[in-house]
Amino acid sequence: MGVFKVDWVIEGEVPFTSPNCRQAGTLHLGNTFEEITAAQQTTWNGRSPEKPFVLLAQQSLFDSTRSPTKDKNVVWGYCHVPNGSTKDMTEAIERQVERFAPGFRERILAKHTFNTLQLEEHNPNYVGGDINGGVIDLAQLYTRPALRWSPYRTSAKGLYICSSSTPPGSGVHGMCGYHAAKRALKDIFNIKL
Amino acid sequence: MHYCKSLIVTMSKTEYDAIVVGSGPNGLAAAITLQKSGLHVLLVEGKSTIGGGLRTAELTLPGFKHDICSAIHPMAVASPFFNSLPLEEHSLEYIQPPIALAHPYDNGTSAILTHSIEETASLLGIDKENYLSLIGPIKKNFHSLIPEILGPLHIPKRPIELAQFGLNALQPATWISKRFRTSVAKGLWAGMAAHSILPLNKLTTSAIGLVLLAAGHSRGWPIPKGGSQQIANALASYFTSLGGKIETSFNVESLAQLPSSKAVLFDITPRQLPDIVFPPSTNGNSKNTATGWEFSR
Repeated sequence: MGVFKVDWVIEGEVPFTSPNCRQAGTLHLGNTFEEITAAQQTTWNGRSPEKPFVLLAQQSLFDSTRSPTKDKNVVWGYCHVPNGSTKDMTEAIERQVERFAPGFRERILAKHTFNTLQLEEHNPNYVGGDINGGVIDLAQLYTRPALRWSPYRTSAKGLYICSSSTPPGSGVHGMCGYHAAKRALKDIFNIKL
Repeated sequence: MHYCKSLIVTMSKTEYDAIVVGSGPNGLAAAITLQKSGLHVLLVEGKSTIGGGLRTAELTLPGFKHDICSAIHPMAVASPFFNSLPLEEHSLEYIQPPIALAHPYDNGTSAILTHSIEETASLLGIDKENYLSLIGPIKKNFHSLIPEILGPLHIPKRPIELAQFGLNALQPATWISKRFRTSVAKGLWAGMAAHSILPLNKLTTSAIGLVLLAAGHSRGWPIPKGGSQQIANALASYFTSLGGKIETSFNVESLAQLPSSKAVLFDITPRQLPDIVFPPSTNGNSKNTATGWEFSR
C-alpha cells in the first residue's frame, strides 16, 4: 500500500472536541477497531476507503521554530491508499479531521498534497507511495529483501543493500544501515564490530 | 562484467574505501559506521538536499516548515545505533509533547499514550489490567529487547524475553484485540497496529503495535526541534566531522558513474538496484526475480 499526504497551515489550533487531543503530538483518527480494520482491508483490496484511517501530527504546538507566528500552526497528515493510487484523498482526510475537530476546515489558510506518485518522485524509495520499503508480512519480516544468509549482501561481491527494505525494516532508526555496514566491514575489510 | 572489473581491479588502490548511495537515515548510518571504522567514505545523494524520508521544507507559505515524510520519532530515540552517537553536539534536540498520542472517539472522549503506562491503562476502564499485562513486560524489557527486535535474523542474546515478545508479536492484530473488551482499548490497539500498513488480520501486524506502545512508555514519541531534517543534518554533520565526504545532486543511474571503491552500499530498494547494476533492465515485472522482493500488492 501507499500513502496520500497533506500539509496544512491553519489559523490557531486544530479545534478538537477532546481536550487531550490538543496536548498530543500525534493523533490517530479512525474511531473504532471495526472502522480502522475496514479501512485497512478496503485499501489492501485496492480501493480508497470513504473513512480512511488518518494519522495527524501538530508539531508547531510544541516546536515554535516550525511557524513564523504563534497564532498560525502547521499540521501534518496522511492516510493509507492502494499502491500507486493517484486519487486525491484531501476531502476524505479533512472530513475525518472535521469529525473530531468541528470547525477545522474554516481555519485552513494553505495546504499542499502529495499523492503516491508525487511522493515517489520526491523519494524514489517510496515505490508506489510505499513508505515501508516493501510488504512486512511473515515471509518478509526477517528475510527482507531475499532469503539468503545475509540479507544485506547482493549476488555481486562488494555490493550491499542498506535501505529499509532490509531488516529490521521501515522506521527512522538507522539500524538497517548499521547492520549492512557491519556486514561489509567484515566481508571486505576484515573488520569485526 | 564491468562492475566486477571496477571493484576488483582497483582493490589495491581506490579513490574511496566505500561509497554509500542515498542519504536517508540508513545511508547516513551506514556511512557513519564505515567512516568510524577508519575507512575513507563517500556518501552520494541524487536530490539537492540530504535526508531521504527525513526532509523538512517550506511547502506552503514562507516560514512554515513541513516534514515531508516522517515527523514523529519513537524509533530514532529507541535506536541503539543513534543513541551511540553524540548527536546533541551536532544540534539535534528532541521535544516530547505532553501526550505522545491521542485517539479520539465519536463520543468526544479519547484514549491517550503517555510516558506513564499507568496513566494510559487507567483510561481504558475494565481493560486496565489487560493493557498492563500485554505491554508491561515489553516496557520492562524494552532496552534489552530493542537491539534484538532491530536486528537481522540471529541467535538471540535474550531468548526468553524475545520469545515472550514474539508469541504476541507474530499474531495478527485482530487476535490481540480479543484480549480487550472495551471499544476504547480496541480502537487504540487498531490505530497502533495500522502503522504496519497491512490489513490487521495479517500475521506480524501486532509486532509494530506492541513496539510503538512500549516505546511511548519508554523513550517517548518525540519531534525533532526544527523538523525531521535536523536528524539528517546532525548525522551528516557528525559524518563530515569524522572526515566523511558528501555529494548531493549526484543521481546514480549506473555503477560506472561512481568513483572507484572496494564496496558500495545502496540505501535504495532492491527494485531500483538491477537497473543500476545491469542497465538497462529487461525485467518490467513488479516481482523482481533477482531478489524475490514483493512490492505492489
